[in-house]
Amino acid sequence: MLEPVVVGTLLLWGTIVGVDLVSFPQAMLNRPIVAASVAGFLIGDLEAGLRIGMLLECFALDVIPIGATRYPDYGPASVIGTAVGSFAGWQDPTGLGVMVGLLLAFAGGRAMEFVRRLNGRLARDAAPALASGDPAVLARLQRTGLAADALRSLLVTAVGLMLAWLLLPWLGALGDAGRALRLVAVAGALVAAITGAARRAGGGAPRMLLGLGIVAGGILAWLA
Amino acid sequence: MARLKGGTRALIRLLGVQASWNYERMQGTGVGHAAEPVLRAAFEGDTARYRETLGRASAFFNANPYVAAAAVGAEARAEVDGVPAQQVDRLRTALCGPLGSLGDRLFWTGLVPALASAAIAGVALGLGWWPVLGFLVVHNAIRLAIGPWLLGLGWEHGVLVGGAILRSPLPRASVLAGHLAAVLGGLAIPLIARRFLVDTGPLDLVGTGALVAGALAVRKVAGQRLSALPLTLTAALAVLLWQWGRP
Repeated sequence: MLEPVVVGTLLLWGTIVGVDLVSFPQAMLNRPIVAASVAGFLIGDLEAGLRIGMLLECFALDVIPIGATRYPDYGPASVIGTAVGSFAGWQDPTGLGVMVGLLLAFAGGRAMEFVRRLNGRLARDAAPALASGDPAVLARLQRTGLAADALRSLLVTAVGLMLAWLLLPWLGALGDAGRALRLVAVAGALVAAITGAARRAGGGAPRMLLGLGIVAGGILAWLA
Repeated sequence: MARLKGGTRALIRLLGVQASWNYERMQGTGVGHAAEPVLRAAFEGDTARYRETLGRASAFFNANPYVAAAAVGAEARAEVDGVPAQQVDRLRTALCGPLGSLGDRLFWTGLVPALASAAIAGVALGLGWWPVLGFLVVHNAIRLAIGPWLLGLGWEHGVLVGGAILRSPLPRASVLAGHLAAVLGGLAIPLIARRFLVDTGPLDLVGTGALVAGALAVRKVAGQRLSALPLTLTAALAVLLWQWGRP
């Protein structure tokens, strides 16, 4: 079960990866394959982190975080998904971890919109000071934005952990669904990976290169 | 040419250029905050000019965060050169589109999916966490190298930074990154399938294939707005309800 030290570490890691999505330093710690792997390592189940991280990464590859687009936050979601996958006690918990991750990614993305609106309100209130070039106001806005995002990330991670802790005993009864959930997760990940890659490639040479990559991957998979 | 001072502090602040991102000014306040050390050093002893230029630097701006350093350098240089305020504003507006498009192609549709796909492929092939570490190291090495270079390029060329970027290796690199993302994105797909389906029976394989085909067909009809995320969660809910309803 979840030890207090593990809970604290997961909360800290979930907050770090949540802030990394947009605010600071965008070092790709937020990517599911990174966030989940480290979460798995912290829990003592690196393999679960790698498995869940790989599948959630396919979903993240279907997202292009450009400008004002709304997108899911896969960082804290990957941390909680890994924790649930590791502690559920199911024989085949990968699918469950992925589904929890997808749900929380959606919630985290919604919470990000709230932070952005808050930042907008603060910037509107500070418009005269900003126009006059007040460096203290600029620094304050940046600090507040960072703090709000840290709080958002902490809350998403904490709520996710709390729900996991409350639901884990009930989930045991559904353990037989593990295999089916894994297949659904793999199918969803494949759809996300295929559509994401096709959209990025567009037409022409990149589309051809995508086809070549799939053939090469198929050969590698057959040989491995 | 005047030497760029405050560059290191500007680069550190650029790591958090989106900390106060909002729908009104987008990255504006972040860019102003990053430009502040450069402007403070450039207009030392002239508080009025420093604050006037900082006010302009904090207006609306939006581009890819990894290449925003070029705009910070160019705008600061334009201010130091005494370029009229309206022209500085036009420079800022003009840089949003090209820097956004170039940076997004280089990072969001190029390097990031290429490296993430390589990491997926590596992990799927059983290489453990090394591919994940490789992803982090390579991405951050490239990103941390590009920032100072672009800040210097902007400072060197000022209002002419657009042409300097076009002549630089960056546009070509963004095309190559896109090609790399296509190959590696394709490579990862069969490896993922193998990793998770290798020990499943023929019935499970057919079921998974049918789910993939069905979801692709639904997305084809519904368009890009319906992503794999809600489709997967809906299918998972159906599985759980079916499991729950079993005797």
